[in-house]
Amino acid sequence: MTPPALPRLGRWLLRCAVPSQWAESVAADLEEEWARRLGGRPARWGDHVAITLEASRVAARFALERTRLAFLATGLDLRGAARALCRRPRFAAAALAVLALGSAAQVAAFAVVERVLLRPLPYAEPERLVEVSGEERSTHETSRVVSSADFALWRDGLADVVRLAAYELGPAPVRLAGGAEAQPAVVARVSPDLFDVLGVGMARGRAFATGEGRAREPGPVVLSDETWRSRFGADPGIVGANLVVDGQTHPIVGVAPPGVEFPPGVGLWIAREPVGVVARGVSIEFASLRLVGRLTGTTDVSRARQRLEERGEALSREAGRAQRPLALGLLEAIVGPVRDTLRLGWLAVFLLCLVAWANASGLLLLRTLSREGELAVRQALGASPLALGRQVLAEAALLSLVGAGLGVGLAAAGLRIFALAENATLPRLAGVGLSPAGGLVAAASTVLAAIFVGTLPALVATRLHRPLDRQVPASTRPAPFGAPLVALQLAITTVLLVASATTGWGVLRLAWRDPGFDPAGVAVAPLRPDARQARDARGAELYEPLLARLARVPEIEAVALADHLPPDPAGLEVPVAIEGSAQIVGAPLAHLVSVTSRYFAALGLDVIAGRAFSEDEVRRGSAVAVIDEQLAAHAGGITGAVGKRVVLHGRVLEIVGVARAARQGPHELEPQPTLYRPLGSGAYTSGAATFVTELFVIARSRGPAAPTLPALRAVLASAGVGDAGLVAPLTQRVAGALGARRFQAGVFAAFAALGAALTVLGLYGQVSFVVQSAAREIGVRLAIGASRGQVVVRVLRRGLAPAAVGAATGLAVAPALSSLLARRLPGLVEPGPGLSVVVGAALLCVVAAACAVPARRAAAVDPVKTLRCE
Amino acid sequence: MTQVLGELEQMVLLAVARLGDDAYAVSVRDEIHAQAGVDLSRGAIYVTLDRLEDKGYLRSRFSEPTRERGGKARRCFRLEPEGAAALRASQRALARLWQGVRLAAGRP
Repeated sequence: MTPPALPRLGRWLLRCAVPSQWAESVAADLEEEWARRLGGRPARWGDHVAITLEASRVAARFALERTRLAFLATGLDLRGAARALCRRPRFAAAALAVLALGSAAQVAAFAVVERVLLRPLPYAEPERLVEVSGEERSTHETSRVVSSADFALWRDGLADVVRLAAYELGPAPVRLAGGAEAQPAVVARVSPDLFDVLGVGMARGRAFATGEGRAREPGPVVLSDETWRSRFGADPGIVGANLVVDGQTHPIVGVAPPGVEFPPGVGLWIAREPVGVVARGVSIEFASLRLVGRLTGTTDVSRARQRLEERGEALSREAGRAQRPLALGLLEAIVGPVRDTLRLGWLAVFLLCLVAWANASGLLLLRTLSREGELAVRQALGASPLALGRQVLAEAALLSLVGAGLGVGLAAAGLRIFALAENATLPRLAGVGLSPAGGLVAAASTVLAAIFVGTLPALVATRLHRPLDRQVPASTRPAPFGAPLVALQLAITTVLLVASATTGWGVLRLAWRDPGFDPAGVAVAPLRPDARQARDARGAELYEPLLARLARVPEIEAVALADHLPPDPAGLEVPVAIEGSAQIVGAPLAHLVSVTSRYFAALGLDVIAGRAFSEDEVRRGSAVAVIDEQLAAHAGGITGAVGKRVVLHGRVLEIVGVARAARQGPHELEPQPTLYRPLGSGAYTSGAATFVTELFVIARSRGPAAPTLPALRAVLASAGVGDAGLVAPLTQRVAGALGARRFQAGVFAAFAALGAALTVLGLYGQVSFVVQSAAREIGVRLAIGASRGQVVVRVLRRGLAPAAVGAATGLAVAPALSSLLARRLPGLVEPGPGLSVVVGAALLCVVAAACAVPARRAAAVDPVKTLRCE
Repeated sequence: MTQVLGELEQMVLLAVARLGDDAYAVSVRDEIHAQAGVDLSRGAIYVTLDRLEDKGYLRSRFSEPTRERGGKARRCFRLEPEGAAALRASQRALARLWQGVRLAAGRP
């Protein structure tokens, strides 16, 4: 009788798990037993299930055995690898150091990227949160700050599509009421519904209630978790205490949960409903609010965002407003500006890892070649080429595993230092550390490192086919794969160095650039002309006494007000029609700065023709202008421009002076044509050009700026018009603007330095090894007449030839990288071959020096000793 | 040093030795069950046979196809001299260990 066939599932399981030589006979055995058990009756479904289960049990037993054998073999290989590495501790230490560095760089870079870019915002439905900025309807210029009037219009008019909250951020001195000396903290003055918009509950106490911060009395305060812990020792009774912020007492009503840090860097929030400024019935607008919103409704996020913008455009047009709202995802708004920096950093880390792995691979390759004798004996004793290769791979795996362990430790320490050192450029970095995802990256990196490091040496080990009958000692034969590895390292290091040099040079160039004015000895402070301060007076009337008081401070030589301070991005840009030049159409665009009479003296900006404004002209808002030399080029040159007239917003202004071209915007931008006008000529009224974004005090000291700062703080505090905590030297402000660029350059410099160190050390090790193992050959050469110079040249050539090929390859790739950097870091990097060539040449010099040391050692070989050994 | 066989290996080798030319996985399992009263899983029998063949203690061959197996051949095993030597060595080792051992009656 023919037995019933094994069900398909059972057959498939056997095919998968049982060795091929067993699969058919096992199936036949099972069928035979099944037929015996059925005893001639037809099989029912229960029988099918039972026999399939039986087949699965057999398959599982084979799979288990296979796993056991694999573990046994791996354990044996790893044990052998550990013993082999322990016999060469210097080699093991060098390879481990290299691999640990590579692993640490990867794990740390991932931790930063995960913390800053990948982590979702800790708020309810974060994808519905948007940053709302303003776009000029006519010029399409965008501004992240909007006025209180626009905020009120959009909040009320767009309530069915978005729920808006506003905030302003800035440092302020903070202390507990009755407490010790005040310390600066980053304070956000927010509309009371900010936490509702974010969807955040309080860890302690309560959030702000509707209507709070609207009255004249100081609004309540919510502390961030970090501030509560670091400043107030996590005092459980803090809710209900009073806090003095910038001289005003506020009640603390709550503590936010950990992780809630919006806007980034905030230490505490004060409820303050934004209100417009009205002076003598005239509305004054100060664009100083930033907006965050939660999209409402059930439509998807992109559709809701589009609806917001369409409705906002219509609303602004109807209301006759200059700006309309634009929405950008909140996460994108926060991390967008640093995304490119982090991506470039990630690229640098990847390249550094390749250098480290190539380095370790080169070391392991040389070590394998040096063990040719041992491997040949093992082969003669029966080890297959595959087993030899597996042994080398096991060494690579063990090195990678231990290297990764060390690397994780290094990364944890490095991240702590990085988080302390880098607190300004990267948002959301606080609390950066190792995470489970970082562990996965470390594991993946270990596997990749083992494959990259071990493959070439393992291949070489499988090809050493001459057991016991070698005619030529291994050590005198050239390493077959060493040269390409050296070339690869040099190529990558060259690329890293070019990137580092380009960005570093860019930062230096920016720092050395002449701004056109003299920031040394200048102290500056932003004023906050809010309703409390301006409601009873026109702006000029309010600030004239302030200027007079400041002018009486003995340390101050000249003091002025302006609505723009370098190196902030240039704000208002207007077409200026110049007498005798083109008309409005095609007229040059000029950056508009409103200033008081002593502005040029205070900023150290030379008036090279004509004169500055008089106090009377500023007070009366006279129709006069000072233009810079770039704008003067359109008005008949520096001397010819004085006395001519310009048309601004339909108003004719007489040019009374020409100032030097100054970089009013960020340092990386060229000076823009600028028109200076008296501050009183419109900045405080509601005419066509009433948009005063900010006002700054600029005070030039008789000596360094530092001694002036306390006096300036005291005057501002007593006048109640500014945040004393924001008084700072202008040089600090200029240097701070370069901070992000410095960080970008620093990232590349650190990786390039590591890459270069690894490459040079690796090359030194490899050439040293070659010299050491070829000592016999060198001795014979010297004995038969070769000069020591020839020996040195020969060794140098051995190291320098692949290095030159690598450097040339790197230089060939470098222009593409420079172009990429130039696109990603505009203004900082200018692509050009000159710097690349210098970097390549410098690297080759260092490499030559690294090769020269072992080369000299080679030349010192004593031929007599060598021959005696022969 | 002689490699001592595991208990399972000894049982399988002895069953193969007892069965002679008829030793294949099913009959080996049945023989162990019948003689030793031990019900081993099929998987354990296959894996042990495979391991013993790798060690050179057994050699396998395929029998003629039979009707009751639907025209399929059996994978039959034969004890090799190395396997017999290993069995004897294990027997001697155990015998030496048993010498002088007196277990108290009735105690586990």
